[in-house]
Amino acid sequence: MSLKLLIGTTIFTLVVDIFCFISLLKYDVATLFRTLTSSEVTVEFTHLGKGGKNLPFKISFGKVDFFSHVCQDGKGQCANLELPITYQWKKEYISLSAVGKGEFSLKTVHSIKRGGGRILVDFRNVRLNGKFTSFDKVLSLDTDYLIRQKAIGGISELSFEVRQHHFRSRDLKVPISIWFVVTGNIIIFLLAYRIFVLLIKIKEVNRIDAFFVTLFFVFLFVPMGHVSRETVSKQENRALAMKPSLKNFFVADSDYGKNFEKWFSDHFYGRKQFIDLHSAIVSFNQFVENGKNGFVFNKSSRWVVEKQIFTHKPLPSKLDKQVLSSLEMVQKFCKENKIDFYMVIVPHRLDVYPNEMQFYRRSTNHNKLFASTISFIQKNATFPVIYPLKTLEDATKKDFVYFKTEHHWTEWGAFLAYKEIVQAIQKDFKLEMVDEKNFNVFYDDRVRGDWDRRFGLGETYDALGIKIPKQELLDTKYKYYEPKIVLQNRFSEEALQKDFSNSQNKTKIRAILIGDSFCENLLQFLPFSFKELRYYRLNNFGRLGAIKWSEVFKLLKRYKRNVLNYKPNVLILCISAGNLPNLVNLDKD
Amino acid sequence: MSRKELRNYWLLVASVLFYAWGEPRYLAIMLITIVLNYFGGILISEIRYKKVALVITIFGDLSFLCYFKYFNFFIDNYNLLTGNHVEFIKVALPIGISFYTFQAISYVIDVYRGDVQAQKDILKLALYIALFPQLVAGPIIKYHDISEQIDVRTVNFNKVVYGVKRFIIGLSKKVLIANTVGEVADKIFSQPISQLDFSLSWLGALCYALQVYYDFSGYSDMAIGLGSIFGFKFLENFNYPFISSSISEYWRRWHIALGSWFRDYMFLPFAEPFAQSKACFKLSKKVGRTRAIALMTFVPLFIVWFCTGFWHGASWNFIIWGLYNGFFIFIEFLTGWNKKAKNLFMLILQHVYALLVIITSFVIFRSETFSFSCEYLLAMFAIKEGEPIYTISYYVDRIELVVIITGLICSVPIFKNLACSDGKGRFLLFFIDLWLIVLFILSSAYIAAGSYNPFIYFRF
Repeated sequence: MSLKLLIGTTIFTLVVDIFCFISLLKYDVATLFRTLTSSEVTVEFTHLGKGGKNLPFKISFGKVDFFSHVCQDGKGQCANLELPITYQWKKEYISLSAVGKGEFSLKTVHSIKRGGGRILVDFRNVRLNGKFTSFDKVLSLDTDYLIRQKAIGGISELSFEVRQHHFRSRDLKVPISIWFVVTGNIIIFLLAYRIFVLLIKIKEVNRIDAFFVTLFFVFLFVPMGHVSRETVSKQENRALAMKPSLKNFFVADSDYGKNFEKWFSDHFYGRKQFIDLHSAIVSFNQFVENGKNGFVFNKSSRWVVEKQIFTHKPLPSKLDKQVLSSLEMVQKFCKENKIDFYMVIVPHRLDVYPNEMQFYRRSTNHNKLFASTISFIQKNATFPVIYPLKTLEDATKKDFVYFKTEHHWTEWGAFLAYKEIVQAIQKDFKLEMVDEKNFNVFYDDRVRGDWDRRFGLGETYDALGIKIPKQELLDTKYKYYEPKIVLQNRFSEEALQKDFSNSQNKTKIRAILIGDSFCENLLQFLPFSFKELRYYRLNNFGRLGAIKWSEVFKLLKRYKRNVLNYKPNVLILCISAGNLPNLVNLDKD
Repeated sequence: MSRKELRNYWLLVASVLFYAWGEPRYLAIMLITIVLNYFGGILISEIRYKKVALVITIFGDLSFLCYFKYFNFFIDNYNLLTGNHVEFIKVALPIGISFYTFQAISYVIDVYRGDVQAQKDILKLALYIALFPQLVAGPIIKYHDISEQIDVRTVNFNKVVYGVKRFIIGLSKKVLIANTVGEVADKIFSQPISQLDFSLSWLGALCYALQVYYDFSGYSDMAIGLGSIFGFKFLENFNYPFISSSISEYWRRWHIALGSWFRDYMFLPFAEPFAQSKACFKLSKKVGRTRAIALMTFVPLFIVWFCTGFWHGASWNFIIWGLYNGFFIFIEFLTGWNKKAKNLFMLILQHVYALLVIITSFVIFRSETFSFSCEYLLAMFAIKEGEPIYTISYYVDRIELVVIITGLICSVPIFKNLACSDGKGRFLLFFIDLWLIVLFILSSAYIAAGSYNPFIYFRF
């Protein structure tokens, strides 16, 4: 055995060892390297007022103040804070100003470096008002993590030390026996030796080609080296494909192959790096597109538009009639039960911001989305139809009524619409209308959208493949409203309903609000005008689960009984213009 | 059992598993085809009534194809003609049935003609029909081209290197070029005809032509590459078809395997009696030999092109597309336009003509209805233009533009054989190998991103 051969074989064996070692770790190579660099961790602070009260609070971090908002689950107030962290321990001081008594929770919701990959975070010496909490030791976190501490109203000082998690051998998830390592190495060494001898024997083989073929097979087999076990991709906001059972193959399931491919495509080693590479290539475009019916991002104006809207075509007149007839059936049902029916059509962002949104259009003089349908409904409906397009168009000169990077209206947009809705209802009922003095009005770069609040964390931008620092993307501040008095509300996940009661409201009017995601921001205001308000979200995909898309808009079928039991005075149907074609199903059984 | 025999069996097991992986339910159809043709081949070689055995075997092969691929088409046309409402059958097209059926037919015809001996080992015949590199998307390999390789072939390092390189080239053609230009074509073809003007309709047609070429030639490259890795040498299926100066030449460069299959097994046997007939010789004296043959073989030619179109899909569009090609080939033979002009101006004119016919033929191939293709062609020739709503950047972004230009450049033989030929300098070889690895990584990134669908949740 020549010395060269011996050295070559040993090096090869060591390379295989290193690869196996890394593959055996829970973390991929990129994550390992990331632990040596600086990164950011997003910490979510939650405050749950005594007795489950929804009490807003403020975080002061350095010179910056952050205001809380209602948590996604409707329980308590939440605020997210991004902390820069490094390999060294760093002490952080945070001031928490809460209105009343309650319980603070702190948890790392995301620890994702821009470009992807989850990092681990160590915490220690967590103190509240100078007192150590139970978490005074080093905590290494890779899942949601909670430090819960009771805080009395006023200002609380929270301090803790944080750093990126140090990589340690105990993080190995697979126990390795020394005999396994020795035997494995001998086998690899012998195999490598055999291959090298064969390669040397074949003299006519071009070494460049030999290197090329080796590299090809390495690239071919590396993806199988470490198949991820994750079930959900937070970055993509979706569940990853499940591995099909092998028994399906033996029962000749024709989908087995496809399902296996889907599973492998979602889990193979290096997928994220490949996707990042693809994103880097795609970002060469002025408009960054994502997916076939995905989103287009204009890098210069920083507006995001759903490409799907380009394909919307005017509804045929037959469908206009069907939509109206379906609405009239709801109205008839309301009339029979002595309920006043109001219809709210939320204008499409494309119609409110034609100049900003028309990336591709040759001219901005376009037809409004479903304009003929809306005008047909307005003209022929015997119930009030509120379509606040003009109000919102005029308001664009003052501030943002829709998010630049999301299709929903801002709280200010919703507030303007709220006023129009109440004005319309005031023709029939004596309603109170709240104004800005009832709220703490502030500006924030958060995006209170539907897909999803992650914009606030920059993850969705990563998913879009937009290689621009998220701080730059989130440089637009929107007008937010936090009520000075928080109304009592109860959320029933099972029934997908939210109940508000306003003890200070002098009227006895009860209302039901049914609609799509645009109602969410309306709920900041609308409950103040009624004694009680119940809200049903038609297309709450996050929780609908088993409900088929074809069933979603069958309003009477889904809510007839609930409406009758609740006995409201008013029923408001609030639907975005994009959902108008779905209204033909409202009265379907 | 020798190592070489064992190699065949391994390959057969792998091929059957490969097919079962994607299409377990229809594996039986392929296995029945193998058995049918095995016994058909033996009967043809051994019994007196060879023709009867041949016809029965081909009938059996075609009956599967007709049932799975064309039955609903026949019902649809029957309903249209009679006004009846016969229900369609619920059946999916088994993967690769068009390809392996034609391979099987090639085998029995070769045996019937005595070009090859009937295969006595059913597993070897099974390997020919089910060989995985070309099972799903061709190319159609004629039995006489490969029968010897099934028994004797060598696998060496150079073949593996060549195979890997061809595979990467094919993968890149498919993933990087065909899929990208395909998106542009899809966007344009999905627009209402009222929104297509001259430039946009040409862009769509051109992108679709590039898509089909890179898609199919990419698959063929991958099949040839995989074949080479396992020691097989498959014939080339594409040879820069867009540089053709006539449609006849184009069909000698485009999907060569299918063109030569129809020529060898259908056109020549049907046309030869006409071409050799006394009437043809008489006519030759008046109009010349070539024209006489063209006129006399008019019927077989159009039958073959009808079948070529029909092979591509159970739709009248494909039939019209086939006849459209046949029509130009007929005219070329009749006028002598199929011969390359010596005059440069005429040669350029011939190329322009060929490209025009090729690109317009793809419009017929792509359109879902004949009326759409007619309207699309009217827009292409500025006879009835629409008014586009979007700017060109909606259809083509920067990357797509780069890919379209790359696709156009690579469709002519500028870099012919650069990647796979021998005798290059070490530096060039290193550069090419490196480039191929880059292409492989880029293709993998695009494949990975294809599985990436972050916003399925979105519904307003």
